[in-house]
Amino acid sequence: MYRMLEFSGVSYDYPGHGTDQPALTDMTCSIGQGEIVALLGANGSGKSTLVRLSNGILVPSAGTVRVDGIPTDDDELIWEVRSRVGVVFQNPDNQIVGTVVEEEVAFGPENLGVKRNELRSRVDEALAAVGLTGLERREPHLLSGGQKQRLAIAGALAMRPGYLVLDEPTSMLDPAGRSDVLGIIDRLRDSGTGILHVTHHLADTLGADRVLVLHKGRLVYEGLPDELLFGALDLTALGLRLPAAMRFAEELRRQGVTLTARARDASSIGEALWG
Amino acid sequence: MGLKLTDISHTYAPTTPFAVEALANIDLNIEVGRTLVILGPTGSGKSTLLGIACGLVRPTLGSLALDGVNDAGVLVGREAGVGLVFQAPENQLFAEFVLDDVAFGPLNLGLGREAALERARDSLPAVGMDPAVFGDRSPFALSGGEARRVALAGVLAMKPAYLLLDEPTAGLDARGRDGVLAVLDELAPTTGIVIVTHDAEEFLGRADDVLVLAQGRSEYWGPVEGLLANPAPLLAAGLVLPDVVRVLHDARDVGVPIELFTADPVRAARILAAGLAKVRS
Ligand SMILES: Nc1ncnc2c1ncn2[C@@H]1O[C@H](COP(=O)(O)OP(=O)(O)OP(=O)(O)O)[C@@H](O)[C@H]1O
Ligand SMILES: Nc1ncnc2c1ncn2[C@@H]1O[C@H](COP(=O)(O)OP(=O)(O)OP(=O)(O)O)[C@@H](O)[C@H]1O
Ligand SMILES: [Mg+2]
Ligand SMILES: [Mg+2]
Repeated sequence: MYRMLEFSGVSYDYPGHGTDQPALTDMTCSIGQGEIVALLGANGSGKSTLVRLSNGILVPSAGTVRVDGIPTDDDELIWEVRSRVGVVFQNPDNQIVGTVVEEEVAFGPENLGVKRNELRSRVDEALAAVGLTGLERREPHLLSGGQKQRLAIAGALAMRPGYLVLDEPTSMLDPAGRSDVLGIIDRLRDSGTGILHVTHHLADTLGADRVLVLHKGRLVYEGLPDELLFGALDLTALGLRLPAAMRFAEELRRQGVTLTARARDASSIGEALWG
Repeated sequence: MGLKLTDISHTYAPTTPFAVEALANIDLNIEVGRTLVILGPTGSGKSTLLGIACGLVRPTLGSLALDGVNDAGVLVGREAGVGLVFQAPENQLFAEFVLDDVAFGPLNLGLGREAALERARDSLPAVGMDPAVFGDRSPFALSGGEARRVALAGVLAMKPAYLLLDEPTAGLDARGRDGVLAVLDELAPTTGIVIVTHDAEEFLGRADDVLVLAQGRSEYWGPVEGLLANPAPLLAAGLVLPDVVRVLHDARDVGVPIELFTADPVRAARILAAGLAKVRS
């Protein structure tokens, strides 16, 4: 049996949602071990719904979600599922339950039965990874927006799940925090974790192995990041836009400047222009 | 005229062991017709400063004046024409239906119910939401980006003279971002706009002034061009130079004449192309 997080023909309709189309329709995709899959799509396209389906917070109206073969809709197995899939939700306020920062981070692994002394090292390590060392005794609701977001990420890291699902984990982070998180994701991939990374920023997808795009609840694209960035897809229609550096490169070409390389950031543009 | 903050310092939980110094000695002028961007790393005091500027948080030290009226701490507020869009839009939504949520602000300003609903129906499309589709939905059963748009619409509907926005485009898709930028462009001449953002690329291109905060202190306050031409304060604050601006600096370093440093990708490309053409001729 393959070890993966697997969505097969999944649909989801919120009760009393009030619009004619379900939030998610016939979604089939998988996240393997040691793989980063980026998930893009316009507001309301179904990304967070997919996230909630990934660890059994929601169960599909049709189709199945399986984690290493375990279905998410079996009440008896739900903790098996939750111990394998860590989720960082879009709004950290909805996730944070602890009364102080270190308790918040310890909460997940404690529930998994991690012993006291290991707990300490996991908490310290996770807080260090997101740059919150020193704030252990702070009350979470007194943190800034970005600090809360970092805390939510630390909580999921401390569980060391086989699959990590992140719903716009960098939306409130400064540029350094953002590259920290991308670095963490990279390292987790290298150590065998399967990652689903929801984002609105195409620049965030450059390090992904695959990219999925949702449109009105349906999967409309699956492929390599480069194919999406340099391909023929109508990005605007999908609620997407090229990263600023690529728009800059596009305008340079329009102004008659020759750029040979596939320019995607400052260094590749610089290289193309003055070597 | 204007919203003036003088020598503002703020400490949370002062005189307790948990005291946090969030701001120290900040001066700021917010003027109608000008757009100010506030940049700063996580926890540098940006949201605290917006809270103080709209009268939600009383600063530990320092004074506020709104349109010449001193100690606006008690005067400043939505009624007085300062609107704040919170960092977490969910904290701002409360009504049973989206349309009522958006109409609440205008109602509170003393508009009649019909006039308030009218404002709501006008401001929802401005953020890309069809009132016919979303008007009678619950604000708590929306996607993250939809919730942020509703929160924005609620503040826009009050037409405040001073509009403070805490990361207004975080979580918005490209169309939503363009929509918000278009609204801001439209309001800019008649509104004092303050934008807290991590997306320097998106906003520096359209701002007049910029404040760079680091650990509650001002590293820079002045015109955007000045900061982009000499970005040392940005780097000192632990922030990075937008990619586009970096290319302009690299170009100048290799001898390409650059007439102006801007973060707007299209304008920056034109400036670089002009410089390259000069080098060739
Ligand atoms: N609790 C809910 N009840 C009813 N409908 C909901 C609920 N949450 C989301 N929806 C609707 O389901 C659809 C998909 O929402 P979802 O949150 O999955 O979108 P998303 O892609 O995550 O969007 P965003 O980029 O704005 O976060 C939207 O039309 C939304 O309005
Ligand atoms: N209610 C509070 N009580 C105590 N400390 C607080 C409170 N709110 C914020 N702080 C602290 O004050 C400092 C400034 O917080 P603020 O929310 O203003 O930062 P910010 O610049 O908006 O950060 P971010 O980019 O993460 O939103 C941080 O160290 C934060 O932890
Ligand atoms: Mg979402
Ligand atoms: Mg903030």
